[in-house]
Amino acid sequence: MRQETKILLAAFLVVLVAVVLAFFAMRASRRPVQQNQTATMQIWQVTLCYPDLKASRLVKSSLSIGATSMERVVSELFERLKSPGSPDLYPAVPAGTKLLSVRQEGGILVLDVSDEFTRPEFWQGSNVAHLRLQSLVHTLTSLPNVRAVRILVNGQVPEALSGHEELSEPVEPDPTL
Amino acid sequence: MRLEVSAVQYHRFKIAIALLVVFIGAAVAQEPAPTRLLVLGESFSDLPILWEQEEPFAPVGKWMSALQLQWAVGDDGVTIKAPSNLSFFWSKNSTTVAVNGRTVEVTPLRQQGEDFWIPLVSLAKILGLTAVVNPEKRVIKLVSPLQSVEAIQTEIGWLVTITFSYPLTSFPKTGTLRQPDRAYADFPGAALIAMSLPTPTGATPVTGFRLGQFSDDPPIVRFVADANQPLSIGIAGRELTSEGHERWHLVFQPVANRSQWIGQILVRENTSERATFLLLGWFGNELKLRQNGKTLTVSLPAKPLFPLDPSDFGEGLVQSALVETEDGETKLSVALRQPANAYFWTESDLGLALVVKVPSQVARQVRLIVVDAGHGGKDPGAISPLRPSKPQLFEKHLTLDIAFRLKRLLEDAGYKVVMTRTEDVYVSLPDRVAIANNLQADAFVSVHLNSFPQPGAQWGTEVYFWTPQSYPLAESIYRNLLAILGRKGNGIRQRQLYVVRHTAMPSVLVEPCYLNHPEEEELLRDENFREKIALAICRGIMEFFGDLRTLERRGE
Repeated sequence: MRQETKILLAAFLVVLVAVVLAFFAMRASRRPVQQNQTATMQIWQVTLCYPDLKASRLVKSSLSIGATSMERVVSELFERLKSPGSPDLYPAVPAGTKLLSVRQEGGILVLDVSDEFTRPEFWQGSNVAHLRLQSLVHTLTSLPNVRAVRILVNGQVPEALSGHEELSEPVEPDPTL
Repeated sequence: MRLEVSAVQYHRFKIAIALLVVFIGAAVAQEPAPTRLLVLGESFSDLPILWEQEEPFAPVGKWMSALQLQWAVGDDGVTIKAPSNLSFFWSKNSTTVAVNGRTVEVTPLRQQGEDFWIPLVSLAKILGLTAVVNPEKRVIKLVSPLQSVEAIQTEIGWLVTITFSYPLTSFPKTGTLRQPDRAYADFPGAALIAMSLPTPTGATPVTGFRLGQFSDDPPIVRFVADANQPLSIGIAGRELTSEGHERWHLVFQPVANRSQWIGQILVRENTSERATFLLLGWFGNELKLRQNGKTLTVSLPAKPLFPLDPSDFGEGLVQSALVETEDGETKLSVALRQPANAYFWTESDLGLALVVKVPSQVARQVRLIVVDAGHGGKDPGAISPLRPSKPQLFEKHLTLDIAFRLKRLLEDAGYKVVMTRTEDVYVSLPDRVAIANNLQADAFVSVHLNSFPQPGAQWGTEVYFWTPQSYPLAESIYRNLLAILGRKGNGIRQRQLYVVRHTAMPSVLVEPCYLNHPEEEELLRDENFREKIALAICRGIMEFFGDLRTLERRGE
C-alpha cells in the first residue's frame, strides 16, 4: 500500500509538471503574435511644413500620426499638404494630385504621383516653387531613415517643375529653410 | 671681473642713447613744420612754401590746376587764365595786375632761377577767393566765399540758387535726413559769410532754409532745407556768370508725388571713341532711347528748366546735339560721326549719364559670362493675366529679350558671352548648367521674371544664390537693380535652386520684378525698362569683376 501511494504521488507530480510545462509552452507560443500586433500600430512623429503667405519661409509644426505603415503615413501627409487648414499658409501639393505609390529605396523615399502635380500655375516663380517643393521634402524627410525624396509622375521622371525645380534626381531638404 | 666691465659698458650705452634722443629731439624741434595748402578743399602738403612778411608764396605748379587755372610762364612773368575766361598777365616786378579792366594791387612775384613764386593772398584777391592764412599752424586755405542764396517756388518744387565767388571743382554732395525731415547739399571748398536767407511761405513742404560751415578742414559749407514731410533734393545745374561767379541750382521736392523735371544737359566728354552726356533731373521711368544708325534720340518726360548750352563738339564721336521741346516732352537728338552703342548709367542722385561708345576692338582680359534666359519652348514660365486689348506677356519671351540686351551690353564692355538659348526652345536645367560648367565660365546669370499665386499681391526685386563665392555677385547685381529700377527690394536669398546649386562658378538667378503685378507688368511692356534690367545686371557683373571702376576712370 505504501508502495502504491508512492507511485500515485509520483504520477501526480509527473502530470502536474506536464500541465505546468504545457501551460508555459502555450503562453510562449502566443507571445510572437502579440508582438506583431504592436508593431503594426505605431505612432509617427513628423514635422509638417507649408510656405507662409509671403512665400519667405517654411512654417513648421509637429504632428503625431497613428498608422500601420509608412506608406499610410506618407499618404496622410500628402493629403494634408494639399490643404494647410490655415488661411495664413499656402498648400504645398496641387489639389487633385493622386499619390499612386510609395516605396523606400535606402534613404530615398520614392513617390509616384499623378500628372496634376506638375501644373505650372501652381508652382509659379522660382521662390514659390522652391518653397512649395521644399515643404513636401522637409515634411517627408522628417520621417525616420528618409534623407531625400524622388518624385515620379506616372512612373516617369518629369520635366523641371515650372522650369525651376529639377526632379531628375532625388531632392534633399534645403538647409537654409 | 667680466661682470663689472659689462655693467660699465651698459651704463655708457644708456648715456649714448639719451644723448642721441636729445640730439634728434633738438633737430626735429628746429625743423619748421611743413606747410599745408588747401586749394578749394584739395590738400597739398609737399609744396616748398616760402614765407615772407607773413605772406606765403607757392611755386607755379600743379596745385593751380585745383583752381582750374591755365598758365604760361614767360621771362617777365606769368600769364594766367581762370575758368570764367578771366585772364591776366602777372609781371615779375609789378605791384599791380590789370584784370578785365580793373586794377588790383598785389605783392610782386618772387623769382628763384627760372621759377616764379606766386603770392597766395594776392592771387586770392585777383580771383575773388578768400585766403585764410595761419602762420603758426602753417596752414593756408584758398576758399570760395558764398555770395548769395535765392529761392523761388515753382510748380515742381522749390528752386534754390546758391552763388559762390569762384567756381567750385566738384558737384555738391546731397542727401536727406529724417526726424525732422530735411535735405542738404555740401559744397566742398566753400566758405560761409554772413548773409540773409530767403524764407519759404505758403503751403509748402519746405519750412525753412539754413546755412552752416559744416567743416573747416576740409572747408565745407552745408545748405539745409527743413521740411514738414520727407523731402528730395536734386541738382538742376551750374552756370558761370559773366563776373566769374558760379551759380548752383538745386530742386527740393516732396518725396510723395515727385514731379518729373529736367535740369541741365551737360557734355562730360567727347573723344573719337566715347562720349558722355550728363542728364540732370528726375525722370521717373519714362525715359526713352532710340537709335537709328548714326542718330540717337532721347525722349525726356518734361520741359527742361534751362536751355542746352551750345557746345563745340570738335572732332569727337558726337558731331552735334539738339534739344527740342514739344507737347511737354523734350527730345535730345544726337548726331554721331559713326555708329556706336548707346546706353544709360544712373549717376547716383544727379540723374542719368548717356554713354555713347564705339565697340572696343582692343583685346583685354576676356571673361566668359553665360547668360541663361529662363524657360523657353514648351515651358512658357509665368504668363501675365488676361487683359482686354493687351497681349499677354510670356516670361520665356521677356527673359530672352533681356538676355539679348545683356549680351550686347556685356560684349560692348569687352566680355565674351554665351547664351544657354538664343531662340524659343526648351533647354533642360541640367543642360543649362552643363553649358556653363563645360565652358568653365567666369560667371553664370539666370534671368527670370517672378510670379506669385495671387496676382498683384507681391512685387519687387529678388536675387538668388547658393555658394558663398556667389554672394558678392548677387549683392552687386541686386544693388544695381534696386538703384536703376527703383523697385522694392525683397532681398538677396540663399536658396538651393538647381541652376545656382550645380554651377561651379559664381552664379545667380535674378528675379527683377513680378510679371503678374499690374504695375510691373506695364513696366515690362516697355523696352526701355527691359533695357534698364539688362543694364543693371551688366553693371553688377562689371562691378563684381572690378571692371566698372576701370572703365569709368578711363572715361574720366
